[in-house]
Formats: sequence, structure tokens, C-alpha cells
Amino acid sequence: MTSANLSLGEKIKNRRTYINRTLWTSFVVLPFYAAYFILGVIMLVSRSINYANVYHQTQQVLYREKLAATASVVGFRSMVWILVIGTAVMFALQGFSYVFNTSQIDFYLSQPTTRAQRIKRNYFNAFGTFLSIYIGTELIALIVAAAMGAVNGNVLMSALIETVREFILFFAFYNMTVLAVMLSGSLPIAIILTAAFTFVSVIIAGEIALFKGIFFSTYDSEEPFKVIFSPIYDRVSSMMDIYTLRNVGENYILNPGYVRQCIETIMDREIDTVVVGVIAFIAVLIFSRLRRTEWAGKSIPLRPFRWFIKVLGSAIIGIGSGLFVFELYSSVWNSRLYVMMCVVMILATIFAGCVIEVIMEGNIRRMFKGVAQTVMAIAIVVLVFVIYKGDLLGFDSYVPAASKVESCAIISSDRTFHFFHGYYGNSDFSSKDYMEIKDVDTFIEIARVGMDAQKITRINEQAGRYSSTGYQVSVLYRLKNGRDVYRYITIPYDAVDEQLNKIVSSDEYKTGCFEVFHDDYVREADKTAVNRSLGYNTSLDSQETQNFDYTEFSDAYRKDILAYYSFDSMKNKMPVGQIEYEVNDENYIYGTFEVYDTYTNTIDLLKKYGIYLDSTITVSDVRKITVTNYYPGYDLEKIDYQDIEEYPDSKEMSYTDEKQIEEILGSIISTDYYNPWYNYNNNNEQYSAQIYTTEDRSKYAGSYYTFIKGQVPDFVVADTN
Amino acid sequence: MIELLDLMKDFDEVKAVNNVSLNVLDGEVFGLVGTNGAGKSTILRIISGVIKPDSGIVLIDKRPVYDNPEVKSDIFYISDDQYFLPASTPDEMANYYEGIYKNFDKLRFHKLCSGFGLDTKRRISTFSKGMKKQVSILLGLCAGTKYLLCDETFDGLDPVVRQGVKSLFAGDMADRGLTPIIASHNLRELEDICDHIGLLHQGGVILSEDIEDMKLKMQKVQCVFQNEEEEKAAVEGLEVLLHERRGRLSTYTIRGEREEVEAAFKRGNPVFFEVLALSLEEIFISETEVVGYDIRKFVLG
Repeated sequence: MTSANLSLGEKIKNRRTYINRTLWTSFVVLPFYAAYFILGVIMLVSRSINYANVYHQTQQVLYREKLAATASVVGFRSMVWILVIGTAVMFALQGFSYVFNTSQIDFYLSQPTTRAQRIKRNYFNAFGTFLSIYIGTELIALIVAAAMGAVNGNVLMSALIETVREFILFFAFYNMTVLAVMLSGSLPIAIILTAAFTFVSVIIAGEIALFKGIFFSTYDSEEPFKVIFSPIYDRVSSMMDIYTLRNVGENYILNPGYVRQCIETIMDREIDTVVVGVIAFIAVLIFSRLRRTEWAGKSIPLRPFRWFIKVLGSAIIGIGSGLFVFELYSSVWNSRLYVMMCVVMILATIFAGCVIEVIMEGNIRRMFKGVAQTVMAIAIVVLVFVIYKGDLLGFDSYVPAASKVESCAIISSDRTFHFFHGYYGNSDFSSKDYMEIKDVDTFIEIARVGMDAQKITRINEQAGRYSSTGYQVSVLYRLKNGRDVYRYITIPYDAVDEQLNKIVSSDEYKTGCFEVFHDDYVREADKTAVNRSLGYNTSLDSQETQNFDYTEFSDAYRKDILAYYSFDSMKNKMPVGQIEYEVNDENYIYGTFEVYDTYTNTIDLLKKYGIYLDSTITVSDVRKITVTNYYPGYDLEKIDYQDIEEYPDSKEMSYTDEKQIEEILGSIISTDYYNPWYNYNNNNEQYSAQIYTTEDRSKYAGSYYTFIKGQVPDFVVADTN
Repeated sequence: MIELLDLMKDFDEVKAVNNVSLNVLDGEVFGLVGTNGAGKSTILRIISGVIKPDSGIVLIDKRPVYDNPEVKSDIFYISDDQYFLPASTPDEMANYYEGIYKNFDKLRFHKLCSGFGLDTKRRISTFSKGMKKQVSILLGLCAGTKYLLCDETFDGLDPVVRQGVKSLFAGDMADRGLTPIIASHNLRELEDICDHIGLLHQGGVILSEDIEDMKLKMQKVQCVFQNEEEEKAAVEGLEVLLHERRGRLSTYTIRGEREEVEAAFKRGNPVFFEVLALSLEEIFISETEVVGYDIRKFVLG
């Protein structure tokens, strides 16, 4: 009997034998998927049940926790992507590694098939096997979960979408690995190339970001770290974003908007992964046609690609060495070290070129071959250095035209709230998400001045001179073309106060800057909170209460900000106290709110709650004031502390005389609480005053105050110098 | 029929196949002889569609072979280092090929394995080199293809097995018109199998002839003459390829028909003369030395 007479069953059986023999990796990965999905669901759901028993959780909480357990295995929070990447790489190497071995090439390519058919069959086998394993084990896990009452619509929908995501990830990594195989002649080189394809865009993006930080005065670390064409980055960053999704709370798995919110959060990176997969697939089709049988055994046979790899690899390592030099010397960095940095970058590029040549040739004696590529790499490295050092792209002078800007923001990451629930936190809160300043002309006027001042500040810092010359802020321009531009600027004190007042006094600024305007999740959490408190602190004392209405307080505080917060009013004023709000049960929330003397609604409410404290100090409240002069013999209002050659020992003097105390009280200010628009340059940091009050006025031993410039009493100067 | 015309293939700086033109007729055993690196394997890989030539034409029954499954279904290529699926047995390989070649005869394969004493359930990786060669030959024969390309396949086979394989080849040639192409670095291995020999050196074809034709067209004569004048007169007009003299005994290798040579020598009135059978080796030595090669250096070892 010949094969022409084979039944379908026999043909399928033979095919299965072939897959078993060639895709044996499926036997390796199957137990891992089974363990991950099936055992994972059983263990996590049963853990939730046991936990509920031990801690007497309600049925509602138990149901939520069981759903969360299943979702963490099969849903958006799944960690199965690690397995999927490993499977894709293994299947691709297993399916296509025959191209590295002459006898296998002879075996497969002499058979009655075309190259295209063979590639198609490998793809079909790999994707079919992967999907069978993935969906098979996942379905069993979901059936088990359903039997344990741990499935709802959200879980099923997130499992379905996650399956699609894993397929996309598999598609991308499989194609990247096959492309690496098609471009290389041996397995080790193919593995190295796969790793290079995986991480190269992350490394390049990292180097660009770090170089910007080193060379550009106005580079803002708030600028998001953006990586394109990197499925590994896409997946890791998506996962982190899903874990820290805002406004989903502990009941996320019961929230009908959860799936939609997750999709919106990750969609851009999923598209990026698809794009990478498609590009890699097209490249596979092209290079599989170009690939010659005789490439087997060579490292990277395609000459142009070999050049590309060596030039790119050497340049990346060369540039990376510059970053290493900066990190090594960062604490003692000065402008002269740039020369050393450049020299090290060139040497590292040459060294990298030699190493890459040795790896590609597999022969140490070929170390100094391929000089042309090394020279090209050096040229790129030097060009990059010159571009960044000379700011040839005009990064530090770029201010967009007002007509091109949609809106602006002053970025403040000073969070009012610290909110934690399990993995979830609100650490990514930023005013850039809420602030949309439309007065672009005024904003750009401020930014232009701030750019110039920041460049001078940076030069001074690199010369070792640190001094407060203005308000250091991050600004964001949202361009009409969809691009976001970030800059770090120093707005000089007193230079553009009128413009600053226009911006800071605007409702757009206030509602964007203060998190209290976006505290819906806190209000929600507060409703069910048991262990909660509201406290009020001043420099002298503190009080707290459990009897308060958070919503009432939040409304009052919002009203005060809208009515009384302005640049003009804040410029010369410090907060008189600070409110602390804390919830410490299933959620942990800690919030702080600065209180100014003009915040009448808030102060009235604090009085109503019985926790208000007057922060003003009279002579009768004070037993003693101890003044410390940290630089006796010098006047830091006339010289810079950095010009002092030998730092003297500090000198203290205590005052109990009422007249002297009165004079001191009139020339000091409390700096216990932060005001971003206060001109800290008005303070004389050479002296500090520690006030010891009478026992009935304060429970603290002593409170520190700072003198205002030009107001240090003569007797203090005389006594402490 | 396999036709190779002006075939060229370079591997970087090395000319693996240099302007090769050969014809392999249906139903003959074609031997490709040459040293290692002469281009034998490359030519077989080109014929089997594994490698695409840089230039030139390869036609199998007037059809191009590269990336042409229809043509490749007529060819079975046994490489020098034949690959078997990981951990497979002869039986599993037969199953595999059964799905590849529509005329694969599994029953025959099992019979032949049994005849050669090969256990079809044993892993091939545990077989000796010679046994692996036997498995690959039997798989190739049972694939039922018209062309069977064997690269150094007879290396490592013991004489009994060689004889058995030769019989199988002969049977398949007679039964279904099998055309085997056998590459070897050793001329002596091919002598008793091949009908036609192509001699390769440094990528090029030195010689391609039917063995029988060569034998008929070339004569080896040992003779003794009274004197040199008579000897000169006898060989005058004959195309002498080689001449050796030991004492008065001369040995001539002459191109020409037997009758023509015998007549010429009889005219010279020799004391003694005898036309001897030429071995393939001698024919090749004679033919190649004429064109300036010493094949003893690179084929006969």
C-alpha cells in the first residue's frame, strides 16, 4: 500500500507524529500552562475561601475576592505573558532552527514542498499548538473557577481579551524570533539577535532620556519614558498601568467599566505590539526569500545587516559608556569632565566593535577587522555627543509658538493624598492630568523667561554654585498636533509676577493643581471607613477628631482655594497650619492640606469640629527664644555661603527679655509647611530661632522659625557673631 | 532526464560549481566522482532543489526543480549525513515519508528492513553508521520516486549489503525506471554500479562518458616486437594515449576499436601481442592525463 491510499485518520496520525517529533517543545510548555491556569485558579480561589473563613468575611466580600483571584490568573493582571514569550521564542527556534543545519536543510528542502509552504506549515503548527495549549488549559481553568463560583461577566470578558492580547504577544515574539533566525546562521547568534530585537528600542529610548537629562538644562524628568516598537516594554508598562488604574477601587472586578477602562489604558501599546509583529512578519517574508541555504553555520551572513548590527551595537555601547562615566562622576561633575566622557565613549565604541566582530566571526584573531563599521559607529557616537553637548537641535531654546499650543500646565506632583489598597496606589497622580491652562500667551511669556533662567541655573550648578533664584517648575505644552512637550524651568523671583498671578489665580490652575478637586475616590472610601481621623497642626500644637464630615471639609477647602488662592497672596505668606486626614482600615489614606489665614471657610469648619488652633504667638506665650547663627563672622545677606572658605562653628544665644522677644517675633516666619509660590529668597537661612513657649500654649519643647532677610535684629547679629 | 546547463554556484569566494553541463538519461546509473570539495554534493543539492544555482539551468524532465513541489516529488535525496526526525524509529520515518511521497510503499519498506536485519521499532539514533545508511537507502527506494540521489551513500556499507543494494537498484531500474545518481569520492566504489560517469574537479566537469563506450573506444595492448622500427610501424596511425616500456615489453593504451587496433598490430609482425581488458580506473587515468590531469592524485587515493 502506498501513501496515495492513506485514510484521513492515518494522515492525521502521521501529521501528529511529525508535530510531536518536531515541536517537542509543546510537551515542555504544556505542564507549565496547565500548572499556571488550572493549579493557579484552584490555589488562589481556595486561598480566598480559606481567608474568608478565617477572617469571617461576608459572602459579598468573598465573592469579590474569588472573582479577583480568577481574574488575576486569566484576566488583565495575568502573568502568563512570561510563559507566552518563552513559548513563542522556543517554538520559533524549534521550528526554524533547521536552517542552521545542512543535513536538516537537505532533509526538509529536498521534499516536495516550497519554501513558502514550509514556512506556512511551521507557522500553522506553532500557532495551532500554542492556541490549543493556551485555550485548552484556560478553558479547563475557567470551568474549575465556575464550579468554585469564581466567574462573572467581567472575568470572562477580561479572560477573552487577555487571550487575544497573549495571541498578539505570541505573534510579535514568534515573528521577531523567526526574523532573528532568518538573519543569522547559527542558534547562539539567533538567540542574541532575538534578545537584541527585544531590548534595543528600550535601550535606545533609555539612552536618549538619560542623555537629555545630562546635557539639556530644561529637560524635565516628568517627560514620560516613551518606547516604541518594543513588545516587552508594551507588556510590562501595560501591566503596571493596569495594576495602578485609578478610580477602580477594590471592587474593580465588579465594576462594569473595568474592562473598558483597561482596554483604553493599554490600547496604544497593544497597537504597538501588533505593529512590531506585522513588521517582523513582513521582514520574515522578505528575508526568507533572500536567505540562502549556504548561510547555515555563518553568524550573520547578510552583509548589509551585519554592518548595521555592528555599527548600531558599537554605537549603543559607546553611548552607554558615556552614561556610565556620568553616573560615576555625577556627584563631582563639572564641564571639564565632558571631554573625558567623549574620549571614553570613543574608546568604548572601538572596544565594542572588536568584541562584536569576534562574536560574529567566532574568531578572536578577527578582532581588528571591520574597521569601516567601527569608524561609522565612532562617527555616530561623536555626532550624538556633539548634537547633545552643543544642543544642535535647540532643545533648551524651544518654546512652541502660541498658535500651535492647545493648552498648558504647570506640573505639580505634590500629592494631597496617598491612597493604598492592595497593589493599587495613587502614586501616579499629577496635575498634568487635570490642568488645562488656555491663556497660552501669558504662559509662554513666563516659560520663555524661565527657560533662560534655568540655563543660567544649570551653568551655576555645574560650576558648583547652588542658590535659589526662582520657582523651579515643570511645564507642559499640549500641542495641537497631539504632541506633549515638557520642560523644566526656573521662573525668576519677582520677574514675571503679574503674569504668574494671572495663571495661578485662574480656576484652571487651581482645579488642576489641587488634588482635593479630584477626590471622589476618597469621598467614596470615606463613607465606609471606620478608623478615620482629621487633625490640625500648627508649629506649636496639634489636635484631632473622629467626628467630622469629610465631604463637608473637602467642599469648604475647595471653596477657599477658589476664593483666596492667588500668586499675589501666596508670594509673601506661609501656611499657618496643616490639616491631616487619615483612614487606616481596608484602605489606607493619608492626606495633608495647607491652611492659610485667609481660608475662612476651612477655619470655621475646624472651629466647628473643635480642632482649630491659633498659630499666632504673643510675647506672653514665650518663655525663651534661642537664636542660632550657623555662620558666625559672616553676613550671608552680602556674600554667598559657598564663598566661605572655612565653615565656622555655629553660635547660639538665648533671649528671655520681653522687648527682645517681641522684636524677634516680628522678624521671623514659620517655614514648617510648604508653599510653592513663596519667595524663599526672602528668608535669611543664616539664622534660626527656636521658640520655647509656656506649657499651656504648646505641647512641643520648641518650634523652629526662620528670619526674614533684612529684619534680623541688630542685637542678634551682635550677640551671635 | 536531468539536464544541467552552464551551472554556476559560488559560496563566497569559492566556486563550488563552475560552468557544469551534464545530462543524466533515464534508466541509467549516473556516477559523480570527485574529491572532497569538487562540487558533487552541491550539484546533487541543486538537482534536488535544495540550493538555487547562481546561474545556469537545471531541468528535470524539462521542468525547473527549484521551489517546484511537483518536480521534487519525483526526487529523493539521500545526503551524506542523512537527517532523521529526533528520536525516531525506521517505522516512524516511513510513516513520515508516507505523508510526503504519494508512492511510498511502507509494506515494501518493512519487508526490506526485515531482509536487511533492521529493527523498525528501534530508535535510529542507536544504529551504527552503516545501518543508518541502509535505512536511508531503503527509505529512498521505497519512496517510489523516479530519481534517487545518493551522496556518498555507499561509504560504510559492507560488501554484502552493497551487493544487496545494487540488486535493489537493478530491480527498481528494471521494474519502474529508477534513475539513481550516485556521488562518491572513490572511483572504485562506482565501477561496478554505474553506467555513466561524470568526473568533477574544482567545481568543473573534466569528463562525462558512458563506461561501456569508453571501454569499447579504448584498448590496452601488451606487445613485444623484434625491433623498434617494426613497433613504430605497427602503432603508426593509431591514437596512443599512454605508452610504458619494461625491457622489450611495451604496454600501449590506444583510442580506437579493437578490430582496428588488432589489425594494425598484426601488420607490424609482433613477436607477441595481446589486447587486455581495461579497468575503469585505467580508462580514467588515460583520459584525464591526456587533458593534463593526474586523477590518481585526487580520485584513486
